[in-house]
Amino acid sequence: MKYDVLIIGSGAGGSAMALRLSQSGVRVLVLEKGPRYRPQDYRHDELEVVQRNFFRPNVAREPHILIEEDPPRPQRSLYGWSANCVGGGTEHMGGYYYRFHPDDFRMQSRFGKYAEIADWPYSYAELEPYYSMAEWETGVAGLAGANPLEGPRSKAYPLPPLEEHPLVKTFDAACQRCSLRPFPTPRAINSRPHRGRPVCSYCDVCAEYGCPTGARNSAQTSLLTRAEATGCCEVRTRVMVRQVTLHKNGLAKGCIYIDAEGYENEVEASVVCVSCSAVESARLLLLSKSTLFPHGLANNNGLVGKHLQFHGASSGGGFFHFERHPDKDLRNTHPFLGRSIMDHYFLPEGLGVLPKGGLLRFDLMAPSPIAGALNIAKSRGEGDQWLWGAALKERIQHRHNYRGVGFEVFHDFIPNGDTFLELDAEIKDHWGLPVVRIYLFPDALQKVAGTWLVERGLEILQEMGADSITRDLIGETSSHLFQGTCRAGKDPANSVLNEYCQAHEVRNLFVVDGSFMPTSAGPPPTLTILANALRTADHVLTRSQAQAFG
Amino acid sequence: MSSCFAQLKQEDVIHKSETLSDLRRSILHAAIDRLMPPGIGPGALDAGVEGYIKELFENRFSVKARKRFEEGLDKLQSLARTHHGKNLSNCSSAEQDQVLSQAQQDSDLELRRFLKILITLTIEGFFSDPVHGGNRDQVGWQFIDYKPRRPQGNSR
Repeated sequence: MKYDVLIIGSGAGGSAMALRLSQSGVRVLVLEKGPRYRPQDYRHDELEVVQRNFFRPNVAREPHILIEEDPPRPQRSLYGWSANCVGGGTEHMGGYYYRFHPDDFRMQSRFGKYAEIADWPYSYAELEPYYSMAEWETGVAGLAGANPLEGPRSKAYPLPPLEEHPLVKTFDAACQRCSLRPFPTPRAINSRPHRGRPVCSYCDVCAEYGCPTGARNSAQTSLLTRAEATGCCEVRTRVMVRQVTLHKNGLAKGCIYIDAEGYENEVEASVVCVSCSAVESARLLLLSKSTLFPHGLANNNGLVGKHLQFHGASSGGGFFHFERHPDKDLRNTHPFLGRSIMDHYFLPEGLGVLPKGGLLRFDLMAPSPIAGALNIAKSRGEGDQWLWGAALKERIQHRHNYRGVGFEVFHDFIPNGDTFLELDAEIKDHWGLPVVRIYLFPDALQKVAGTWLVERGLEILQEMGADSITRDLIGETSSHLFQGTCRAGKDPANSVLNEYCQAHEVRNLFVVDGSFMPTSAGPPPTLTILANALRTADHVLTRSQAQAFG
Repeated sequence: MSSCFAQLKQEDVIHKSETLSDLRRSILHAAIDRLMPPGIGPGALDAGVEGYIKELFENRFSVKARKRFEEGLDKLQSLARTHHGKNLSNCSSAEQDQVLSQAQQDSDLELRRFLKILITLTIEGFFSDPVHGGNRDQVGWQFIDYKPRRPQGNSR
């Protein structure tokens, strides 16, 4: 059987495509490498989920090879893996569904040439209807108009903000004294029942874990299961695609995959969408070599794998003593402070040639007995020794006299010529396929931005009366928020995809995850991946009605 | 640091079970008792950390990981014998602490790594969900006044 559209990878991009297309009667096949988990399969088990990386592969069997030093010291790494399962990274995301700033779509126009930054091939205004669509299809809790730096929006959020910890009053007052404008963090979590999923039960952990009730949505629960319900969408799990196949005329034909028993199968479709995450999508194109594309599919200009970006990540925290702090609400165990600040999205003059700041997200620190104790052991010993014994126990117990408020800063990774991926010449995964080798060299400005932004976050915590503060990450990178590798642009000479994420060189081939993003922007990319995939789906629908794919 | 152990997943389960010798059990017992001693609150032994690590060793460690773990224990024993003339389990608490401190500063990188792995596993066994065999009767969680609040309600 030939399908209309083949979608490889069932994360945010793939699931959004699958829903939009199948709702219009297009016959869709979705292939997913990992298993399918249901909400009831998820446990809030720190050892299993966090310490043992429930969602990410074992690097002994499926490594990414990471190089961060010159001369290279290749390491097996979890960098560039988000999750191997139906729904992809959205199964264990925090679900921080911010929109990008309008200037994120025109970085070069606004800031001039720097490193490898570029304008996007479309504007915020062109994506805006799809931002609203993504928010309503999935279910986002937020307050329209509360973020003064957000671009114009055509629709309010479908759900009101989540309930907040009473400490938020202290937080908001401190921000006001600092002339900052905090707003409720938009989250992909039900603040009331939505599309058959229940309201959040405000349990004690959230991000990193699968949601056992389905109140936090995932691409699977909010999009893919609805696609399947149309009768037009079939999902096959535990299948590893090893190559996108081609017709003699250079159009994509389908793919070859290896199923759970190790057998090879071939499927055909009129349109092929690759959505395996920015790193693995680029890998699949590079693996799909042919006479027409000797360097990998759609890669005759050599740009597949270039412009790779790992999101800028900085963080800090403050500790408030239960007895000493005047705020008696500290003992309340409600999980969410739910505040973000975008006032520092652009840096003051003089800090760097590319004055792009970031977005600060504040929340109460979630209980993490194992990671918390390990952090104390690692950070409180002498030199590179770890703390243990009675001293460790005292430190651990001391820490629990305090409520922790933490913040993370999401900021840009500046695309540059030194950060990219290629196929590793030697190392293969357990399917026998070459794995990727990632070169990661952040621009020096990332540390400048991270340093400045962390200090701004700490000022707020001190204004709130924190007894102590910590600087955790300064201008580091996130291993699981990554973009680029198949840059979208108007000029085929310096991009892989066009403005509809359609390969310049193969007109029935699309890449619909974070690969297309020319620049990273500040916020996490998930909502933008969803919106862009919905926009791409509409383009595919128009074109297939015109029978443009044959 | 502990990645070779911590990232073990279902597919890597070694079916051929192998147990720690009684002698090595005694080294493990003595070491974790000092890494997380009783005193203010329960210690590693009260929390069932020994059983947690034993289960990992028998059913989840690869052959290579088992070998390295055994070598680490043996090195602790030889430090005890060299400096105190007796097995680690027969040393006083103060002597055992000395052995662990020495191991942490030893010139042998593998031994220093082993100690970090042992601290990691002790913390895991002390604070993880009791379904994994440690944190007996939730004594680890009680120590930090942690009462897990599980999600309620289901979508199906």
